[in-house]
Amino acid sequence: MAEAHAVDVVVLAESPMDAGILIEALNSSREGEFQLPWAQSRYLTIFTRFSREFLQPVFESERVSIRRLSLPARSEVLIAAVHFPSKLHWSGDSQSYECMELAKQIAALEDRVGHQRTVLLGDFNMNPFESGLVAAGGLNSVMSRRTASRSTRTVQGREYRFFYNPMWGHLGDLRGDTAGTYYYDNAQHVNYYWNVFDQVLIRPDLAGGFDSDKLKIITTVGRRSLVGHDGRPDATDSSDHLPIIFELRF
Amino acid sequence: MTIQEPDFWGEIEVDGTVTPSMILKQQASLLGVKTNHLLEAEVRTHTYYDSFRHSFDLVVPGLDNYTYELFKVSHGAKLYPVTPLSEADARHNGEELLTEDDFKRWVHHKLSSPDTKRIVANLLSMARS
Repeated sequence: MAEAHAVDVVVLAESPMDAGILIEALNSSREGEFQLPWAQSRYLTIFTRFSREFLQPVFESERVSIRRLSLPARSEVLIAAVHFPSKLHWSGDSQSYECMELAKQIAALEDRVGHQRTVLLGDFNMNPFESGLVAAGGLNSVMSRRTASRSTRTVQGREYRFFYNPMWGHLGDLRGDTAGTYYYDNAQHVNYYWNVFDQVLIRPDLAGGFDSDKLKIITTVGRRSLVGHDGRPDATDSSDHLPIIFELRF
Repeated sequence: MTIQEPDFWGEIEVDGTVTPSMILKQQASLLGVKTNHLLEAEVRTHTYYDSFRHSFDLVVPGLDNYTYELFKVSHGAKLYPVTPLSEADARHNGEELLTEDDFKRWVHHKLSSPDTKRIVANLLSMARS
């Protein structure tokens, strides 16, 4: 997939495979093309086609990795990758609180590096409409680029920075042959079946370089399908989540 | 004639309880000395609704202050119990740390665990390189 889509940065959440094996696979057609910058996050593995010096981590925890992407002759960008705990282990409230923690951490780092060109991506194990993603004190992410372009909103005298969350446009099957990135069926009264847990959120300062047509949920790679006959992610041969791909010009 | 205003406060006693924050900061202060200041530990505290949250961070000054959040804990105004906030702690222990001694034991276990030793060793290697 990295080769087919000429991907510059690959972010994997909870990959069971050894990073050494993965990088061999990534470099199978051209040796040394992908590099693995040093990092400590247990649940996130990030490869890049850029030199590893250009993608240095600034803040990490088990489930968060925030890095500065500093390419020559380009404005620096913060790339924040997350893998939030599953709903199997954490309540919705706990997930929301974690969003608040992350929002604060990102804002603090933006203040430190002196810009707000931040892209946040990963497996949130939450849908775009859940309170942690939407709440002002959470990630404050909205479905409209125009709304996000206001940069901030004020609640009770406190100012919160917006994210633009284009994944709202991928809820349901109108745009393609899948209705989300993760399928879950259970016998409860409220069940969405399809969820968009894998998301990319973009600060307004970067939203102008985001091409919505190039944001895709991937269901096939070459001739290989990532979904089963029922259209659900093929957890046996691929993953229980479908990958997303996007392009950002900056 | 002076009128003595009544004192409704009574005697104010200083509680001798060692706060979770003090325990964490005391341990944080030791890391820099033990690593020739290649690594430092810091405790970040903020409030969240009716609780206090403390993050225990490892900081590498030589790597542009790269920060690794080792763990987070939370407690209310009563200081104890303390709740560890990482998923693994919540899943495997599933219980709150009821007393100062319980919390000290937990911090000891956390800081001397193989995972923490691995992370500290990795960060030291990076700091020296």
